[in-house]
Amino acid sequence: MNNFRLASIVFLAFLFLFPSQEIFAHGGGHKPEEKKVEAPASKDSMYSAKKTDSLSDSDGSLDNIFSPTDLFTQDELVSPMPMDDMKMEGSHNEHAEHQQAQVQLSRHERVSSSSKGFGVAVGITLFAGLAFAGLTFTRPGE
Amino acid sequence: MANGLSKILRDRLGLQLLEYDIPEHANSIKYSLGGMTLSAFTVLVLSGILLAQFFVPDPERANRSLHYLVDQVYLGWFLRGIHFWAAEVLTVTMTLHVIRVFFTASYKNPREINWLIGIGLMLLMVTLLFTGTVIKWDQEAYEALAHFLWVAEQIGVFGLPLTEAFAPGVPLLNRIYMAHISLLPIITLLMVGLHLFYVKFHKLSPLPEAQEKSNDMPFTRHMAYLQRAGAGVFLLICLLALTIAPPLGEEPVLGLEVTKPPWQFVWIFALENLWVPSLVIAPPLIILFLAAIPFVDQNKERYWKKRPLAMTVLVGFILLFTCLIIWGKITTMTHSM
Repeated sequence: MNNFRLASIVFLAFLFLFPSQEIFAHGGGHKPEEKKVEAPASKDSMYSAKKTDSLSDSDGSLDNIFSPTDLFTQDELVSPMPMDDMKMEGSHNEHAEHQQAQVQLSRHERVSSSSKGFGVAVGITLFAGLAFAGLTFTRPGE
Repeated sequence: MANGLSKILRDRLGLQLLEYDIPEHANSIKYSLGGMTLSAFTVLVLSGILLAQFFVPDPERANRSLHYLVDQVYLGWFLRGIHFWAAEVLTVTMTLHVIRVFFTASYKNPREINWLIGIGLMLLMVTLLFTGTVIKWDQEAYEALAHFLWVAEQIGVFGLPLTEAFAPGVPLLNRIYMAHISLLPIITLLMVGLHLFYVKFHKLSPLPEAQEKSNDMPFTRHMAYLQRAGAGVFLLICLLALTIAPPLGEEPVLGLEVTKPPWQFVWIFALENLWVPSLVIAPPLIILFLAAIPFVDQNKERYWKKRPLAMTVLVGFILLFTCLIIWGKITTMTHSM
């Protein structure tokens, strides 16, 4: 029985490791084009949320709710009654429909093999797989 | 040698206290769902500690710091994926655990208290999920917070501590982040401890269909089983993180309502579409309903075939939520905040 488990572990190890060579070959080191994203700087503008024209014109307290203004760093005070203008409307806001296209909706995406450290991530996953397989076949303490 | 070391450890650390007897049916998937949930929570805490090193909890930089993490930090995308998928796995295992407890009537006398603690833990998990959604500060986060603030306004003075008006000048996002990484996890850990204490105190609930007492085994055997289950959970999380990147939008456009919430909250999105005040009314009603179950259901029977009313309620609840989630996913919102 123990021999069977040992053989199964070896088989599983091969099963995991064999395709991983191909994955490693395409992962980690190869990165066609790196999208440069600036590291968060300490002197950025206080208002970085993209505001639409119509909204910036309004004195909507909804904006103030998410204002990063700080009593210690800015003169501007946050509205003490931020919820005043929040209300339920009967139908879709016209502006919202008009400007909907400006918002890029986020979705699940496939992970690219050129992501930084992809090879190591594959390795961690393989290690987790081997650990699970090992525990499943040897069942220590069970 | 190994036995000697084992004895030394047992004597010094008191490990023999873990060798108390529990029923053998503990070593099954359906009675280990709570342990799997705890495994996912552990992954969440550990990955969350690492994520916190890279996150800037400021409204102007929160979203960009996440994009920086995902695009520029070595393994940052994987770390975020692990955190996200651990939360998804936890939602599933926790829900299945609650269903199992209801199905086997494990909430009945004398385990009512643990049912209530479990409901509290479920609420904490939902709150952690919500705060986690908000702090990434993209369009989905902004809209989730706008809905939450609307609800907070509706409940008047009780909602005041949840708004920015409570602490003017302090960005709400900072407070939500604080809750997400410290307040809520600390309360959760305390309640998990209490939950486990009562599992031991009342003992694992017996199999409802068993005619006589089942065989016992030492708890350490169950720990070994949970260790394997935890490894399986971690493997699943890694596989998901390796293949599917969690969504992350750009900084929000204020004032718009164009996204839908994560699937765990879509049911309330659907209810809101039917009747807006349900945003305020539905959550407390559901909590009240769940909390009342052990006190309303006084039937001593535990076997599911002899509890037709309870099974009808369970199936009805699952069907209702499934339909609401599907409908919420396909429907279009007919109003905005």
